[in-house]
Amino acid sequence: MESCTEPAVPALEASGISMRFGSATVLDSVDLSVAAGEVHGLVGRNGAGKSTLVAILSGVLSPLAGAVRFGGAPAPRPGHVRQWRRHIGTVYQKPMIISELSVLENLFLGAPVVRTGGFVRWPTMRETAAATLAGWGIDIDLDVEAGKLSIGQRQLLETLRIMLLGPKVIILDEPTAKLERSEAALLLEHINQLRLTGVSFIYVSHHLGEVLDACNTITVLRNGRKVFTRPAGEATAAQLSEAMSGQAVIDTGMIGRSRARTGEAENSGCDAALSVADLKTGSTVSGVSFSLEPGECVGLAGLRGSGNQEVGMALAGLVPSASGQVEVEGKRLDLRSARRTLNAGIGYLPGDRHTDGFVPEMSLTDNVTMSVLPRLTRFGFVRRRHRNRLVSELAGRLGIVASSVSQAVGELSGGNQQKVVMGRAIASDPRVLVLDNPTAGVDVASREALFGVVGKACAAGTAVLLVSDDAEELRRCSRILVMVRGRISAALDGGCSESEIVTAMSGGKR
Amino acid sequence: MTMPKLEGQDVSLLPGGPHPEPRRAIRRPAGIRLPTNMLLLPALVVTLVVGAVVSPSFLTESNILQNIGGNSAPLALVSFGEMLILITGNFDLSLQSTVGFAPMVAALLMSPVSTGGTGFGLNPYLAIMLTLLLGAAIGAVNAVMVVKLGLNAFMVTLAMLIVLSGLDLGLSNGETMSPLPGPYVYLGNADWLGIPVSVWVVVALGLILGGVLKHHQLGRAVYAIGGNSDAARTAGIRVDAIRSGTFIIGGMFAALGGIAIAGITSAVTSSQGNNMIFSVFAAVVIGGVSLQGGRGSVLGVISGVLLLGMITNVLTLSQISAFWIDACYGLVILLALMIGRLAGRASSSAN
Repeated sequence: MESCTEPAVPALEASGISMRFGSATVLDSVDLSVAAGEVHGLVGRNGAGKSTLVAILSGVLSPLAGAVRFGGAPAPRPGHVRQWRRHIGTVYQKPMIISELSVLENLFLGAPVVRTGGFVRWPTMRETAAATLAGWGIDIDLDVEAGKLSIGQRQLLETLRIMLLGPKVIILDEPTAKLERSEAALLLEHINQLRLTGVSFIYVSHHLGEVLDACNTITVLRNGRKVFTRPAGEATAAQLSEAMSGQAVIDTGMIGRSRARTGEAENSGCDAALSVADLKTGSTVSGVSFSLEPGECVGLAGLRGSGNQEVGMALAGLVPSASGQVEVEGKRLDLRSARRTLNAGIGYLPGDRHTDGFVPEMSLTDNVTMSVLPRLTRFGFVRRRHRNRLVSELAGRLGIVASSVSQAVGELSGGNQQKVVMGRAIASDPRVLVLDNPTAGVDVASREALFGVVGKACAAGTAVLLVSDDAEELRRCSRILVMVRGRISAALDGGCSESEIVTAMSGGKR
Repeated sequence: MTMPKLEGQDVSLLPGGPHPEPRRAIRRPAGIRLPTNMLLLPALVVTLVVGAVVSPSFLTESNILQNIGGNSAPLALVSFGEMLILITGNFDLSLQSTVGFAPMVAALLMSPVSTGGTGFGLNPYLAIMLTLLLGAAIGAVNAVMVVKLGLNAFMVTLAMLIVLSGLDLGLSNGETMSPLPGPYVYLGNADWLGIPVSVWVVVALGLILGGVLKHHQLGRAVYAIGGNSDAARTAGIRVDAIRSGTFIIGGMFAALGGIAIAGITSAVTSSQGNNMIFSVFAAVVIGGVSLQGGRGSVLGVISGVLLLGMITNVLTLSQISAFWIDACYGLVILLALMIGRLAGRASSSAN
């Protein structure tokens, strides 16, 4: 595929793009050239300027200096969103669907098929949509409200919407972060098909393995500057992560004590930190039992829909229909109230930080202390000194980068937001920490920082349940329980390979 | 009747062909389900039965058409306007002042000095145009402050409400403008085929508005903006222009409602429209319009308005002391909200 026959004009050419917010230079004279039919990977840590570059390339922001050209012609003037959409479409990481509207309407959002006078041609739209979905082999009811779709389906829906507009260049921002494996494979397959018809892609991702697989060319950004652009065939993951951070990244490796080393009953007085027996929720989880020892980090693996996330939510008291015998350090847990599970010593990090994780307008301090505020009060009034001490201690432990502890969390980068959510989960000094996909959509360095915190918590005796479908997260656990269709189907030892984990999650044999 | 075509969600009830039991497909919950904007049907039926029991004159043609229909028409018009603004995720309290202020200015310009007017002798047809234009202008001012300047809609429109009702009082010296020329009161006091003109107008505008909301790209954009304005903006929808448009059209609907009230009473009082915003909000919310934006339908609003109209009528006929009517009215609204909520939850319990 690398035998490109000297494409005369690049599909997209950005030259000398510079951008500044206040006094901070976010982009410093960045060049980017994407050939027709090329998949161009764009990697960099949070804060490297990727999002800003994406915003400029999609016509949402206008750069301080530099120019964007599509197929050799200058880009439309800033603000003319519809004209930009003909050249370039962007699938954002943030959900951009309208939950109240049907799948059909979301597919044609902003660009419905209309007859003269502006009235919508439903039958035509329905046919096109049905044909597209069928072409992709996706089975979604066109009339269902988009808000009722799974996160993965929503992401696919957004991607399809952009592709339907038929732009020459498509930007995908973390396209697989919320997708199930099979959905991600489907997406990559279609990227390849469209690529052959001359559509170019800019693929923004933290997932280096995926970028190396999917892209022809990779550009690395660091601190607003381009480090290099090179063909994917000549780059390795280690090179990329080094270029992204400016230094070699140390992999923290396995977390928590392994059962073999600690022995079954090393501490006679202290039994299981968490024991779960016959946990059931409405329809997804049908009888799950396991136990965690103090200081253990156990993975609860499973694809979306396998029920592993529901187990995590149930332990956090967020599934009203949950039933079963759950004990924290021998004490029976009431699963019907989030407040009671929290008080019983369960800390929970929700799977989707954008919707469940934090209040964007509130400060770092308020977000971190949200669930422990009652412990920081006297007669109901917050003891500021106590609170501030706790927050600065946590911010230090997590390495949160913010201008001050009173900065609104919505203004922080994705990795730092996730650290704030983690801070909230550990603020209560939980005995059991339930983490749902803790490093999804987080850059490599933040990922290591987060795992460092988890590791320290384990060392201090906290039991960790890591709910995930990402083998890269799961392989750090000392023990992995695999869920398929609402039941635990396998138990893997720590140190097994990523492909073993993936195979087990997809139902054993392949 | 072609009314069901206007329902916001009726697409979901059309057969989309047989679905071949997909593995990950999202299926609608089984069982009987009322479309969201028909949730009030049981409440309407109950009120109808109660009304028939309470008073023999309830189920008479003249009571239904003239008292309930005719008296509900202004509320329906203003509620249409509020619905549009609410669906885009905004808010307008000042509509009730537009209801009084716009016709008052027109009445002052039409009436001779002998009845408290200015003696300008404005042509009544032009006066109707002027009333509507005033409504649009007030909406435009609100739009500038809320959409362009980004001020809080609640505070802006509350201030506008106070300013307008103050202007209304100041200009009229608290006097009632009466009588008014025939063409101006025609909407509120004439009948076609035994049905008040205002009811015809509500039906016609309802059909147009419903059709546009359901099937026109502007209407669909209105829902998209209320659902997720960021997504709408990045999809190329002109969010600010459409939001401003709803304020302007909303103001015009309020002005038209004001003309209808002036017709019913054959006068413009300085208190016209006072407290009406409460009924407007009650009607639209009971009718299924979301205060968060993104949801609402004409049929829902009409059923909300009808329910309130019937309840007022039943309370009047039942000879409850006038001092108790407000309390009863409020309680019934609370009850209707709870029923709507419970019915809504039952129909989406699979969530």
